[in-house]
Amino acid sequence: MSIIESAFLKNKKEQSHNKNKNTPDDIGDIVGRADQDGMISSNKIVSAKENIAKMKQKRLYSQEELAELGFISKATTDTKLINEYRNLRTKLVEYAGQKNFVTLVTSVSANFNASMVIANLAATLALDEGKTSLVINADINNSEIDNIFGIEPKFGLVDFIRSSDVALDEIIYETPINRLRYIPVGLNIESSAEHFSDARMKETIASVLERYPERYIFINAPSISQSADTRILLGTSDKVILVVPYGKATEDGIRQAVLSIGKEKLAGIVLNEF
Amino acid sequence: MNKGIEFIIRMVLKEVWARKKLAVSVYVLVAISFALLAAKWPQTFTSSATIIVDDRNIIRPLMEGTAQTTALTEPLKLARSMMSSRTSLKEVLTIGGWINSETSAKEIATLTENIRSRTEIKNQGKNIVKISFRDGDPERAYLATKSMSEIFIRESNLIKQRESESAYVFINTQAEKYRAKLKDADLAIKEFREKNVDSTPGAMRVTNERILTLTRNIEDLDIEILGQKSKLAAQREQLSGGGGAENTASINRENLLRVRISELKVKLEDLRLIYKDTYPDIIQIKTQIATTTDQIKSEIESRSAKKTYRKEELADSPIAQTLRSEILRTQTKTSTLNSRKEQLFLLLKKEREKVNRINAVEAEISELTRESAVNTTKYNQLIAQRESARISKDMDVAQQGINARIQEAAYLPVKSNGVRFLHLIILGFIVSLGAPLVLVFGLALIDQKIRDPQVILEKLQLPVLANVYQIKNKYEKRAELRSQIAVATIVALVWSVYAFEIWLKIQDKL
Repeated sequence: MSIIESAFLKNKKEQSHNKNKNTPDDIGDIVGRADQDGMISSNKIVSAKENIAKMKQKRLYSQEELAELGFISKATTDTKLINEYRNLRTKLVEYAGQKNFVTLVTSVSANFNASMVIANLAATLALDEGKTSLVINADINNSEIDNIFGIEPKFGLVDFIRSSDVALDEIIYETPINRLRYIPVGLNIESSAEHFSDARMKETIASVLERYPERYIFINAPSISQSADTRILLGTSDKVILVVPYGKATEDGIRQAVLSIGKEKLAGIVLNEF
Repeated sequence: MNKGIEFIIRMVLKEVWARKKLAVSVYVLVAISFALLAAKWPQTFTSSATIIVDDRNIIRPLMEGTAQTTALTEPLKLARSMMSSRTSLKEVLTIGGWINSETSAKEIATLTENIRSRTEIKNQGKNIVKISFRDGDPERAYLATKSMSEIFIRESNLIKQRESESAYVFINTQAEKYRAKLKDADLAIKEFREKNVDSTPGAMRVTNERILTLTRNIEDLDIEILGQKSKLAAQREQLSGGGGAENTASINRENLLRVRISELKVKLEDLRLIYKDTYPDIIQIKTQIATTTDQIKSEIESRSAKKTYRKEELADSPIAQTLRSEILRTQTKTSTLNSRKEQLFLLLKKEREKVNRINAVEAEISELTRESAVNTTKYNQLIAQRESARISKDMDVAQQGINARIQEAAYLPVKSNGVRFLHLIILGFIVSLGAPLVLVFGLALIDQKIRDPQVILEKLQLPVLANVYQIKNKYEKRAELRSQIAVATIVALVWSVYAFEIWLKIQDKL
């Protein structure tokens, strides 16, 4: 973590309210880690940290497992890539300010899903002990993220939105990565329906946002050129990251995607494999 | 620019890797095609000979004006005509070993055409002809080229000989023709002269001289006649007394009277000095003078007025008699002269007629002679030319006037030319590597997908947050390594095929 980033975070924490303290906490095993930076000194941050530190954590990916799956981890030696993700994180934190923040990640091309980008982005943010991240899979055709996090979901987002019998806790899954939670898309899905226009989607997002302070939510949306769902999801998110894969997007495709997202909502482009 | 090239290289490599199956297939296909092509490509060997056609050899200046060396004006044309001659080409075919006595005419025709298409004849400078021939067999290329150059020399010499021979024959015929003409003309002159004897050479001169003499004689006669005539007239005058002899006394008297007068005048002057005019002597003298003067007057009058009355004075004088005989003689002479003159006139007329006749004959003869002279000149000229032609002919027969010779003899080609095995191998090496690169690059250009981040930054003006990529796990890394090994193996296999082919080539088994 860079000095600038730390200073920025410090400034932000000092201005924050107390309400974070009142949010309900998950109680779980404590997997504490030493604060590497040692620069966060505010009481409020400490309390947030404590909350987060109490998060449940049954199983953790080993460094080998992380590397095998293609995650950025502490053992990653590719500093260039680490820096790229760090920069991305800094920019997002900058956008978020003090609020919890929803980022929609979508690919410009239908034949590329940004699962690994979103997983790594969430993991990078969760590296910071004061922050948690949540990945919501809103792409009904993409179960890849389930595999990435090693999760066999019983229920998912669509189930929660459609049925009041499913509780929020039942769809938030713990991942083998510290401070990273995951909501899968669900199992029984009719592919043709629009699933996210319901008001319950917004409620879901809102309630999830409130569970922890410093929570960053990443919605994995299908390609914007492909799905109407993504356009609906735009309404629920603060910023959008458009992933442009190498050799798969045309200029016109990008132009149209940016046009449907809207310039003010677009955080920026993330190039993949360039 | 460098950045651009770097980007393109990176992009191409990336694309090749992304489409490695296509790239490798194209590579193998192209490489093997070239290897096969190199193995099967027909080799050609070219042999050539240069022939110099020189129209200035040593004989020429020596024989200047006497003999002409036959010049091969258009060697290229000659060479081309040789190549279209069936007999010449058949000879080449036999020497090259394409045909033997059993080869069918149809086959020969095909082979002839084939050879013609493989032969190249061109001018290298003004008088140099280059004949080149290409064939798969170097030995045969050499033999064919050699025989072609030899045939060319032989043919050109033959042509020269034929040319000089026919020139000699022609000039000879012409000379004979003129000789006959000349003979006819001389005969005609002879016959004509026989018919006109007068007109022997020089007749004209003699006649002219004669006419001149005659004219001169006539003129002399005329003068003599005139002299005789005036003599006659004078004698007749004398005879009639007009000659002045009868007045002599009167004149004497007159002179005496005049002397008397002058004496009287002297006397008178003397007297006047002493006396007056009235002096009787003076008066007397005066009277005497007057009387004398009167006497003179009457003497003169009587002399001129009374001419005839004294004719009879001479009539019977001896002078008259002499005169009369003189007159008779003069008259006789005059008539003789006149008749002679007439005679001369007749002669002159005759001579003039003769001149006219001679002139006519001369005109005829000069006509005949002129013809003969022309023929003579022409004949002499032709005889000289015939001799020159004979020497030229002999020279060509002895091949002394040779002006086509081989400058650079045909050689046995060692290296094949045109596209060679090595060219194809190298080309195959390069093209097989380049083709997949070009192909994927072309595909990348065609599909219009974005491969350059600059497009997003600069053209679309969008903020780029990060440039991320997938970290490969060990399985992926292993898979990639396997692909790399597979590709390398394929490339190595192809290269070993090339190496094997080169080895075969070196061992001369291909």
